Amino acid sequence: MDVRFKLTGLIVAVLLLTSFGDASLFHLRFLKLPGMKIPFEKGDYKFFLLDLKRRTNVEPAPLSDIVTLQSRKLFDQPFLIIYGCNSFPPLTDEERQRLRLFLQSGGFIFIDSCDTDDLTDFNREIKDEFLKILPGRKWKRVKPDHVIFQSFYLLDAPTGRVERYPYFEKIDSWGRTVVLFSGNDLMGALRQDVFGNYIEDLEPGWSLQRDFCIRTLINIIFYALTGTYKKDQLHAPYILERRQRRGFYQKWINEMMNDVNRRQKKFKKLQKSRRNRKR
Amino acid sequence: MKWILYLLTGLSERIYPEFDIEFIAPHWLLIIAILLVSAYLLFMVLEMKESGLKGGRKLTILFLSLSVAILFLFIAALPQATFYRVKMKNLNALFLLDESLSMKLPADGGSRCEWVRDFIMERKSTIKDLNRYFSIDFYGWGDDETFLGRIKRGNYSFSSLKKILDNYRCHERRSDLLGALSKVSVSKKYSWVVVLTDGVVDEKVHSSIPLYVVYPPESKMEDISITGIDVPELAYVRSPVDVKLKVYSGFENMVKRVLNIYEDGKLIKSQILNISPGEDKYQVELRPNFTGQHIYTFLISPDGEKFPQNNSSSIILNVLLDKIRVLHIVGRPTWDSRFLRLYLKNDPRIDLVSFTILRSNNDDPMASEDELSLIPFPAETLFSDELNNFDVLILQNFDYASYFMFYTFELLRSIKKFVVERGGGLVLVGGELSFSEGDYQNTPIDEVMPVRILPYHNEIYPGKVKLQLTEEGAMSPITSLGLSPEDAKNLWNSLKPVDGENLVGGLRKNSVPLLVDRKSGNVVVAARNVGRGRTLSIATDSLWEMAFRNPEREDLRRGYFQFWKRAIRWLIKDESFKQIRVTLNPTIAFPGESVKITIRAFQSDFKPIQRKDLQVRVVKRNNKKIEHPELSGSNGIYSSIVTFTTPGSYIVTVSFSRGSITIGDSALELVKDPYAEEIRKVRIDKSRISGREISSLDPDLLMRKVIFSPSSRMIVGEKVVPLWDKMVLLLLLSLLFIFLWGVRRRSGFL
Repeated sequence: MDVRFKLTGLIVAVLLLTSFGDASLFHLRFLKLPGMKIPFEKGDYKFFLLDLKRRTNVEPAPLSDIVTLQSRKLFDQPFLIIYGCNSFPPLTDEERQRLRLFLQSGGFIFIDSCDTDDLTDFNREIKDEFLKILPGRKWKRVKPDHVIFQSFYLLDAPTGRVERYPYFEKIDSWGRTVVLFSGNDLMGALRQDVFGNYIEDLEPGWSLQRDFCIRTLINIIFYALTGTYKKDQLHAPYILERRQRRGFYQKWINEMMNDVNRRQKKFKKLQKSRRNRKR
Repeated sequence: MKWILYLLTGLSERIYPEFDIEFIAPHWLLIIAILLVSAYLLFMVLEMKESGLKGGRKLTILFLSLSVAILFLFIAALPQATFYRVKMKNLNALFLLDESLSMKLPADGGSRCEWVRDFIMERKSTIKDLNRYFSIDFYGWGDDETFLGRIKRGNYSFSSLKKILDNYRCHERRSDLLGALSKVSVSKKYSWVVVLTDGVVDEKVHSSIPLYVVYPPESKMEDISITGIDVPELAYVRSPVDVKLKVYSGFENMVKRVLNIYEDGKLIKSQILNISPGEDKYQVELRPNFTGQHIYTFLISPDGEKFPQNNSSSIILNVLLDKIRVLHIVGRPTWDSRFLRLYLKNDPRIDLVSFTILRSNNDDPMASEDELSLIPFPAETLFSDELNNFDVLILQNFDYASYFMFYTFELLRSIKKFVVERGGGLVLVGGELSFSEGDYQNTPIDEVMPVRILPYHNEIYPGKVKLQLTEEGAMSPITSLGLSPEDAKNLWNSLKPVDGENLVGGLRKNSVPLLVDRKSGNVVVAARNVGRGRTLSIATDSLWEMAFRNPEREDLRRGYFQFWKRAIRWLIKDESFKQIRVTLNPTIAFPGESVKITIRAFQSDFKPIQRKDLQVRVVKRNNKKIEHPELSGSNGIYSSIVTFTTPGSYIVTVSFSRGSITIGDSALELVKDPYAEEIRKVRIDKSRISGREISSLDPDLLMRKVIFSPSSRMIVGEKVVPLWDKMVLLLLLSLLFIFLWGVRRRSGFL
């Protein structure tokens, strides 16, 4: 048996033994809307949850869970992910009311769309639904200074399986962000098979893209758990300094890379001219 | 001109000192007389114009004509005089002599008191003169009025005056001139009052009776005195309060003295004051660390002064919280911490500083520090230097050991000190890193907690826990949630079982169980008063479920936020949160003065607490004697009148107990030492009495103006005498007319 698989089993057992109560654990919980197809398996995120435990101080439940609007479990924890990519029938008034109550009571919903090529109406339909759930509210782009980009990791922009949208969208209500929308199939990028291999390929597929997908989801989870904690005045000087330092390194790396490219071009040009001379 | 009238009528001014004149002629007669006189005068003027007479003779004729006309008119108007026989009323005068202790201060070689005696003795002849018209009362005043003696009108003798002055002693501890004046003048009417005083009186004095004030001369004294303290009515905890001390120095040069400031009898600050001669203000900064009423005493070192009592003065300061500063430490981000933070951030009265451990030492975030938003947890600074800047510390699911490291014992002791000595509030919230799992057993935190913490051995119960409100919990301001005990019980009973609890080892002394596990009896929520502070233990991390897991129950959701709101206010002993309030009026009194205690006592559901259930105690600080004054009143509002006999500070405590829960309130009363207050103002103060200052007993001012005043006399008889029929007047008219006729003849007129 794979070592990682054994390790997973062991950690799951330890978690179950030492957990205080179910409510103290963080549950990665997906909401299945009526008529919506689920584009993943329940176990696809167990390695991400291990990663979450290894990287942070959060105690996650070992497996993700799927709930429906009618389920009693809907109000077990105030964090839900709606992950889908197919068109779905409109919600009933009762269902909308239930979702509104969930958000009003302190809940947070992250919507991730795997319809990255606009093949269905999922993006439009889900956005319209939430405008009906929260009348009078609007979808707005999330600015780079939103706490979601600094709730654990310092991030500059959202990422996902694809990088179609360089921004999140959100709905604010009751003084906080209650719904977040990503059109980059973030959850798709984190799906892993039983052996821990990532199922989906990434586009464009830069070296740290997968890791930044993990960081993005961790930041979303931390936003749900800690709210505006990282916006407290206490953190501001540290975060500002680190962002400035990162900007400086980035500039330095870019200059180095430009220099390397310039030298490579020069070298290629030289080689070409030598070849021509030989001919 | 009066003598002409008395000569004309032949009456004596001594017998009839007052008279009135009136004209009794009928109108028709008066009109005829006026017409005749007018025609005559007109004729005379025209005649003179045509005559061509020289100025001198012309003027003589005109003058005589005018005189005749006026006299004729006067007689024609039929004048008549009414003469009155009058008698002097019994007049009273009052001498008020200051008998307060401040009169023992030096003046003119002796004391002010001796100066008053000398002043009166030197003016004994004036007093004798005054006594011819006035009965003179002598009263001394201080705490109360003292009758010294009375010299009846016309009965003056030196021995009686001396006897009065022998009764005069300066030994009274207060200077209640206003009280004395109103009491003495209520039974007798005085024409005037002479007050002999140094002007150091308790209250400003205004009087409707003419008041003449005699001040002794100012005398230099090498003494320093705190003459007043300007302090704001309210102060905020840990915020600077500017206090202005008014200090008088009788020294000729600037002197250096140490000012010691005591808070509730404990020295909190010392500083050097450079005190310049005369009266000046000196600013002192206070920074109260505790809410509630506090007595601050300011003492300037006397350094051999004759009157050291006036070198100290005390005030009562009401210290409030402007913002509740809460330090929220979370060992691990959970939904419990998230919901608590949601409340703490939304309460406008709370100033929140929070630290959440997002990554433990064992975690590997797979990124460099620059890629993380995490900041170091400044445990050492936070729990040693900064802790006293907070009012409430919440340790939520926090295991101190990983962060306190080498300073563990020191920092845990600092937290205990924060509660016991500083009066801070401490909340320990459960979770898998808290209570026994946080290894808190036998730590200083364990000692102050309401419950005993078990040893580190997985003492958690992960199953469902049904919370039950205890009898005390139903009465407690925290878990009653502002509802009646029955409603509070129903609300908590309707809560679904929550997930998990930390097991605890029972209650400590002075602790109150509020919520327990219905099945096992494990104390889940308990409260305790410990030292100056308060603690609250919440042995579960699932209270947030109350706010979220019952979406259809708005009352439960509201109940969760009410629970925290009331818990935080209970921890800081918030004024607005008190069910029992006691107020004293006045808060600063003199011995023997009546002080009214007003009590407003209501239960958490606003039902009045019965009078018999209240316990009232009056205790003098540093004294074991306890008094229990009787209360009157009904419907939750009660009162009592008490008097304090000796100077010092007193605490009035009102409490109400049911089971092991006790609620109450207390207030401070400062009873001043009258002697110190008397000699506080060593200078003559001429601003407190609104009377006319005199330097001697002026007979014209005190006697003549009064005895000739109509209000001092009464009419005992009258006599009516017609004036128009007096032969003298007719004769005068005839003579004037003859003389006029003679002059006219000589001037060529008929």
